[in-house]
Amino acid sequence: MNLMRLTRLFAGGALAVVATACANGSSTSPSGNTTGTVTAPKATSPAASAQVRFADQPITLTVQNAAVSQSTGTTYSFEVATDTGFATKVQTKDGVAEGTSGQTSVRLDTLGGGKDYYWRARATGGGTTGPYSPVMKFTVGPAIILSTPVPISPLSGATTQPRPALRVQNVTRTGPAGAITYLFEVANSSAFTTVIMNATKAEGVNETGFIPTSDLPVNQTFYWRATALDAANGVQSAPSPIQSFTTRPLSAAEQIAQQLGQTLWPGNFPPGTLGHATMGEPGEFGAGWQIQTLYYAPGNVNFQSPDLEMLRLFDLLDRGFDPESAISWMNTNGYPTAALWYPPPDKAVIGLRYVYLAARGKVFTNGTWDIVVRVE
Amino acid sequence: MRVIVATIATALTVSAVASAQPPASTMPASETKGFAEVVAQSAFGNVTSQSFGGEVGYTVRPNVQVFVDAGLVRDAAPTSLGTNALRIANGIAAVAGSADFHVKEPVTFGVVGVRLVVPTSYPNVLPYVEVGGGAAQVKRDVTFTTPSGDVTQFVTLGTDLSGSDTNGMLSLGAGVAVPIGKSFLVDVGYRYGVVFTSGDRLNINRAGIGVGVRF
Repeated sequence: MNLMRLTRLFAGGALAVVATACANGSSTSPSGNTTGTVTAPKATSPAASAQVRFADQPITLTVQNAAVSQSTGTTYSFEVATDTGFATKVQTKDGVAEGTSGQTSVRLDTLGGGKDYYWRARATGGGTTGPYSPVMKFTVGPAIILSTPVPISPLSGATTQPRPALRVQNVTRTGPAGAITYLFEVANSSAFTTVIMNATKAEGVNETGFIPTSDLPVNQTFYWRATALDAANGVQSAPSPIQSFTTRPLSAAEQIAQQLGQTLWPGNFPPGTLGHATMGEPGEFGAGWQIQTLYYAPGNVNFQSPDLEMLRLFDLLDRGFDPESAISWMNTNGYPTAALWYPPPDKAVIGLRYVYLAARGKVFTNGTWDIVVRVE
Repeated sequence: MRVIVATIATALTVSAVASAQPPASTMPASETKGFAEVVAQSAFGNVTSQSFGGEVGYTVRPNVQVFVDAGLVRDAAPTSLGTNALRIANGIAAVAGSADFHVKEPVTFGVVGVRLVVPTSYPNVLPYVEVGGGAAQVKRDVTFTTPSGDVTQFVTLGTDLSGSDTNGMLSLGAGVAVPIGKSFLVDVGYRYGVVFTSGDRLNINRAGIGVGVRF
């Protein structure tokens, strides 16, 4: 047999058969590239039946990435519903790119409070959409809203002692709020970039206050605000409107009241300027204004001197009030007193229960006042 | 592949030289009208399995036969199939707790080709080489199981791990046929096949024995 003919027959015939077979190749799957296989992702966060505080929103859903045999361009779809059958979907997040750390997350919009939610996710990759992850449930706690605290005092423009009582009206609340506390902040600018003092105080009756535990620098302007907090539920109010105040030095009477641990004028504050009266030193004219215990012989009573009533009367005299006006101002401004003024020429004293406040030399304007224990 | 092509080329050369020489005194095997045989083979490659089938040949010229080879290779799964299945099984286990998987890729094929019988001075030994082409159906038979119930709740299979494709196939072979009496033969041979799948080509090696009749 001719060698060339034989070879052509052998090779040519076989190649024709292969070519025919290749050209006629059919497939039960899509022609060209195959589609990928995709597993369900594993839901990891929030944990099953997690309780989420309303204030902790927005919630982030996280799944462990699905296994995808053709893993380029995998995306995820997340669904949140109020029923296990997902008939009532409240949020759907599609096309979420797969995370590179083995997990994929999506942040939800704020959900309504006091409800159970069910969520699931599935992956799409390699032209195949995988099954949903097992359904997970979480509960969003009820919404708790705190109103904004309303400042009582000091209000803007006030002049205060170095330890003013910062007071706000208690907030109103919506929802099952827990114990409320108030964060008081004092700053040297209205921007509150530098908070020089702050404290958290338990809620009082109707109002809540804070008195600084140390003196603020005098003759300076400060700004303060208060924010209500429900720590158990992670809720806080908006800060109260910012108020300003300017500190002034304590009067002599206020300093002694402070030593007694008391506020001389917890309510209305008297007008006037200081420098119109002097406290008499202990000696031949009186017992002096230092804190001490004195003895009232007619009643066989030991008593503290000075008390708030004496200090308030002196403070008003120091602010330029005459004795009669001082007694009147106290009785009409919430500081009731039984003091009586015995004017010159017989006397120049203010009679109290155990003592007299005596104007030395009967000079009661810009005079010196002594504490004299009564003997009758 | 390169070795096999070289082997077949050598055989063709030997055949051509032989056919240029005067015929041997015995009757050439190709003077029979043809043959039919059943074949049992070991299939090997990425995995080792079995192959069963049959081959029929018809003499069209002296020492030249047209043949049809058809059969089933029980498993010719490439490495990539097992790798993907393992990845998916791990993904199922992450959700379902645990998962098992089983991978198999049976191939059903049919090839038509030309067999060249190499004349020798031994009348009872008929070496041959052959080349053929045809089609092969490759079925991706991957299954997953989990103790957590229906596995379809955890995975959606793509066509990379399921379904089947039918593609062209090229087959090269060589062997020795030994006539037994006037009517029977034993055929010991090797076949190399390549299936032109859409991804990587699928190589199938088969070596085995066939028993049949001559007519």
